[in-house]
Amino acid sequence: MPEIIIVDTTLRDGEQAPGFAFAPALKIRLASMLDEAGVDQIEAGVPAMGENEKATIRSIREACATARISTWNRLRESDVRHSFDCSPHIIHLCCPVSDRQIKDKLKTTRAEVLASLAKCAALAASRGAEVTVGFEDASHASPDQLREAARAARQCGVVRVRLSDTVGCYTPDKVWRAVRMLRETGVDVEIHAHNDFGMAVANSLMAVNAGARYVNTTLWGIGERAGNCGLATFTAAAGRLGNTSCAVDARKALELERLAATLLPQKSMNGWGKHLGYGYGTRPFGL
Amino acid sequence: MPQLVDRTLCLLYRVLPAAHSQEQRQTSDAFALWAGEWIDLMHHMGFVVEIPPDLQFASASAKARRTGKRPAPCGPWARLSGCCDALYTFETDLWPRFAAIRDTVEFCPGDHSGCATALAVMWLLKGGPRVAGCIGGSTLHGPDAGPALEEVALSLHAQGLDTGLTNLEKLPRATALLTQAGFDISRHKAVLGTDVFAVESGIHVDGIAKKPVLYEPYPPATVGLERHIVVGKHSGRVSVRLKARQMGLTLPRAAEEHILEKVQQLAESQQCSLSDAQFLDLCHTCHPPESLSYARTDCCGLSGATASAEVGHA
Repeated sequence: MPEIIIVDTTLRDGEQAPGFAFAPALKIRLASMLDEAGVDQIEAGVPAMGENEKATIRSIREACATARISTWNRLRESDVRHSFDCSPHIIHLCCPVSDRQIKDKLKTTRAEVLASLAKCAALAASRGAEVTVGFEDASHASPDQLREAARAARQCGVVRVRLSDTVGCYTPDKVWRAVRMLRETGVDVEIHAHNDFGMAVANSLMAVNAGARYVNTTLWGIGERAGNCGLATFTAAAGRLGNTSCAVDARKALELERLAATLLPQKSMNGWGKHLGYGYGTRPFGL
Repeated sequence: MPQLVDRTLCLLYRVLPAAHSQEQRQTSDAFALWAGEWIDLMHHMGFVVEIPPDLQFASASAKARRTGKRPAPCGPWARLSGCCDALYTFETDLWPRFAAIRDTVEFCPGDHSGCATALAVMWLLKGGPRVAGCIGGSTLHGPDAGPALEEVALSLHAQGLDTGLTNLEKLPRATALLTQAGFDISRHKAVLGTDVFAVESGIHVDGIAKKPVLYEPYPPATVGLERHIVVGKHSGRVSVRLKARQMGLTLPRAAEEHILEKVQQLAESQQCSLSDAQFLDLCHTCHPPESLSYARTDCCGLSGATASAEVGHA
């Protein structure tokens, strides 16, 4: 039975949701709790944000017994050098793959992006860290563009790519096809789903069904806009659907979310964590 | 063209007690009035509304009131419910079993696995003509209520499918009616939440200022919402510049970095993003008001209103 490997990004993408600003001590505490729950990889932050963030990531690395720590980086050599200061197990490079991201945001060409990827991947690997590559806005890239990017990453020695559904536009059938195609290029696949259409959990499950081994989650499903794939909801759904196993037990994940929610300012949590009971029990028309 | 059937009234109606007491009769009257507005609103957007038999005259739509016609509660459809765990087997088992009779099947998948919206979208993309669910989905009415129709509708739009739905900018009125009825709708609920277009991350603010589609699944105005910048730990210089400009301040370029540093420090110390008042105070502390120029401007449609998450913090 294939095992789903959880990559939790609460401390990076989750914290980017407006309203959250985790103090260093809280980030370290949350990382320890995720580690104890069996999360395999914790995306601890963005070293390029500054010295405080770097110090926190270093402390997280020391605090976690088994989870591997990764850092998130733009496709810039300077970002990778900041990551070196944190000695992470994994250096993650974010590589835009859609035409609109490349032309309208980076204002460059696909060839330039792939050249930067090669340089940054080589630099990141030079200190012994595992390198993973995230295909930003993958749901707006064509299959050929995804294939080309995956092959380029493979040539750089990268063995795992992240399929990032940046604005949550994937449907289950499309994510299934994208994962199958990427698997054919010989890379491991990680799914990063957003919940803009309420399909983050379903798209993540479908990616697993198509052969993705790694799934990105956040506590309570926090994240930009409508959030990311929630750890407790995903593990519960994966357990119901079967065919796979997961190192993070669904009940433990729910307990973790309940406990961790008490550590945050309540106004930050307001609106997140419906599955913990928030919102249920309302009495229509005061009944 | 697919039909999206809203079950909200039936789901509410079944929890209302029979009107025996005076108090219960008042509740029923309040519900009937509420239901009338709900039906009109749903019809205005193009949804099909499932109406409980007892309410078909008491709270019929304007057209029904005029004509006195009593619409069929469900029509000639067989409702296919459950199927909560059919995600993996949809292509190979569920759809093939019902494809031949799809024109008589109204699909209403359950949400016990968190996949109801996805299953409904898959059904419609395959050519199924009709799904049933409700506005807000399982977060309001529990997992047997079916998919959240607003998520299904917007997802189909994103796939370029014509749903025949119009006036979706009226969805905030639906949210208001549900709130009036006693439901608590999350600010982050996909499509309906008031904060789903709040943005703090520097990368995202910069991207949206260049081209909103880079970090937005659809224009906020489509569903009657607005995007707004929140400043906090993850802001960048562009966020500070745009936020200040929207609040009527033009900061010297040299000041942006200093203010950004202060914003990030304050956000981290209070473990929360900044309110508008806090940001303004901070700008004035770093640079006395007389040294700043004031002119309220719009920046790429990025509204300066603070996300309600921070309002209480001023």
